[in-house]
Amino acid sequence: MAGLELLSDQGYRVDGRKAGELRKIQARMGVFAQADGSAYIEQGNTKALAVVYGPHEIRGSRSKTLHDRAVVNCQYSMATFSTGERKRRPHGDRKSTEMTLHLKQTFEAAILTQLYPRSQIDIYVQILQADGGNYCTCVNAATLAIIDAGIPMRDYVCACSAGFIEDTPLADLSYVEEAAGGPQLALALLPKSDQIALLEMNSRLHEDHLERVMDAATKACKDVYAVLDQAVKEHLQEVSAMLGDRGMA
Amino acid sequence: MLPQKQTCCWAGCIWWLQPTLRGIGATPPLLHYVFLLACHRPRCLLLINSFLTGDTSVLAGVYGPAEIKVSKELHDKATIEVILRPKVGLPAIQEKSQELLIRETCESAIMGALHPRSSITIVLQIVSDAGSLLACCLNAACTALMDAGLPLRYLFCGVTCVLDTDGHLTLDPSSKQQKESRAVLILAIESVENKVLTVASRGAYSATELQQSIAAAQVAAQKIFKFYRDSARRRYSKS
Amino acid sequence: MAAGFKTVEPLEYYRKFLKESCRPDGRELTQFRTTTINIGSITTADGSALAKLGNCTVICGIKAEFAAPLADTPSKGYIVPNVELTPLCSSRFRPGPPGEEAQMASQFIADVIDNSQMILKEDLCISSGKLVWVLYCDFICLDYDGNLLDTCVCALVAALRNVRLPAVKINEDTGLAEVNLKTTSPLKILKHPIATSFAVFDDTFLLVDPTGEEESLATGLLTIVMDEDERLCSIRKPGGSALSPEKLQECISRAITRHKEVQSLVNEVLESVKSEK
Repeated sequence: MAGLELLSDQGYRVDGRKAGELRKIQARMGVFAQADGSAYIEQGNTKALAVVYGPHEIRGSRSKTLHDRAVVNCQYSMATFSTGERKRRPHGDRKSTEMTLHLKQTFEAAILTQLYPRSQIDIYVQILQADGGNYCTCVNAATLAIIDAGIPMRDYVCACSAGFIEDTPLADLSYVEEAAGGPQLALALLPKSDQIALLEMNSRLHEDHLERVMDAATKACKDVYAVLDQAVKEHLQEVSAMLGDRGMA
Repeated sequence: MLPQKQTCCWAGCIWWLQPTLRGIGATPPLLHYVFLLACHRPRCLLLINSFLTGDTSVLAGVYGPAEIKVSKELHDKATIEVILRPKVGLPAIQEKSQELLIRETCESAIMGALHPRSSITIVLQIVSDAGSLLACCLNAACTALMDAGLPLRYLFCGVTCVLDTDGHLTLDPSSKQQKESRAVLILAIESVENKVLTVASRGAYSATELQQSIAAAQVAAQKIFKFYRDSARRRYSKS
Repeated sequence: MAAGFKTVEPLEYYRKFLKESCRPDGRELTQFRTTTINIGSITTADGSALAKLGNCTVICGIKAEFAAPLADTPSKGYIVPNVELTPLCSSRFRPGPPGEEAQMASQFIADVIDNSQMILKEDLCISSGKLVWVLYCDFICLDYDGNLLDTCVCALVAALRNVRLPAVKINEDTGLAEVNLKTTSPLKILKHPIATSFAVFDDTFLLVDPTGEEESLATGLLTIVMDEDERLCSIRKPGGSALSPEKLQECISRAITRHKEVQSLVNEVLESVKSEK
């Protein structure tokens, strides 16, 4: 067994969190002027940026056009300086392509694409600093960016990871906990209806434990939802205050 | 009805051998080893290759205004493309950035608005490099445009200045001088108001040195423009 | 009404403002947009900085790696800049390999580093002929709104000042490098080049720090890079409107004052980062 103790006898994790506790989330919406929607989010030391363009007419090959709904186009990239070792390829490698696909599937499930037939929505996410839970952070960032762009969704998409170490389900894994190689579960949830947009699990986990881990992940997603909702409300208040000022003048 | 493509299309091709301007300042600048030969088929020019040794030479061809791919089309002006081919191998990032510089210089000289939705392609083939390459490319491009008969706002020429460690200024350096210098400035001067069109540089220098270089380049530019004129006269008086 | 006029006749719209010597965003012709610099925000990088000129945002992350030196320069390390303009920052960029503008920017930054001699490449040598540092400077444009080069150079200078390299010793018995992460040292930066860009409008007006819109309407662009000794490290004027030497001198004078502004801003931010620790 490696020297690192991921869960102490008192029930604390390496970074001092309890088993079900999330890392600190800080989010800001509407950070960039060029894009239709943008958001920046920090979950602990993982920092991600999401930018949304659209809905606009189809770019590139017209053969992609769907006549009953919008095409969701995603790109996931990691900055070359986001990881401990310098990444040679920021996007286009196999892992990024997989992430891109996952994001696309997640948001196709959440965005009301049938409202925009023959159009395209671009979602670009950029990891600036990686410390575990990259997928989840990206989903949360993208959700905020889509809300900022004013594109209707069924519900927020909230994502959080969960692991299972020493018989205890842990929420929101950090890089150290991910690297330990235990089972890992990423869940993207539509919290109001408790619908799952995407669920992915790596490594082995006994069937008996699955429910407990799922419960932990679901709870974590709902916690994330509370934070995201708060961020949206604060942003709205800021924007409406600014508009109000202008209205007065 | 549109005229046939062959007849409505200007084409020019120029073989430019960098005139030597060494010694500006001390002695009056000299232009020698100059060949300016023009022909409508690049193939003919390749035969002359064996005559040339030593100095920098660049082969330039202009094609257009011609049809263009829809994706590159600009609705209010011509799309200008510059292709810079190194002597050996494929164009690298260095050539790409030089291409961009030459293209933007040509763009400001060519009256692109007269040829909307068409393409003008300038192909520059480096034949030999003995210093002052970028300036030579600019000169070749300008004479080729002239030869192609494209309407230009003004003529332009490229001049290379090098500054050595004592701050001494030399025009039109050889590659050895260029390598040993502290700073190299490549300036493009236009012919109407004698103003500075393009500046690119390597190394560090002071503002005074820049002004000195510009002044020297402006003097040299007059010689080059005169040379353009003489060559054109010679070319058209023959037939 | 104004918005409609702007859409239909953008040039006329600008001329109306320039006649009164001001710009649509309220700036004077020689005024920069608000510059903000944030240093050391990315902890996974060896040095990082985020620079913002108005809306134009660039993040620079520097990663140091070991490499074998080139055979003809055995005691020189190298610095590799790379500018990324992804579709994220503006809809004018397409996904795929770096476009012309990104390549040009990378080349420009590389030239600035070389010309200014801001870092002696010999300082990046660990063991002559065996091991040197490579500094990968990756720039990601997050929001594209004109004047990319100034923003990149700002980010570069700030990020390089943030770099701390660990002490490295070569173990003579094994010939392997031993890294001591506890003792780190900053880079020796000899010069601080700062870029100042101008847009020429209608061949006459000189606008400092052009926005994306101004760049696309301008008849010429000019970038001047200057260090603290008032030496010019690079001038980039790719065609466009021809300028007289006097106009160029005017631009150089503006670049000198701009250098002081940015230099003191970087120092201020670095001080505040230090005092936070």
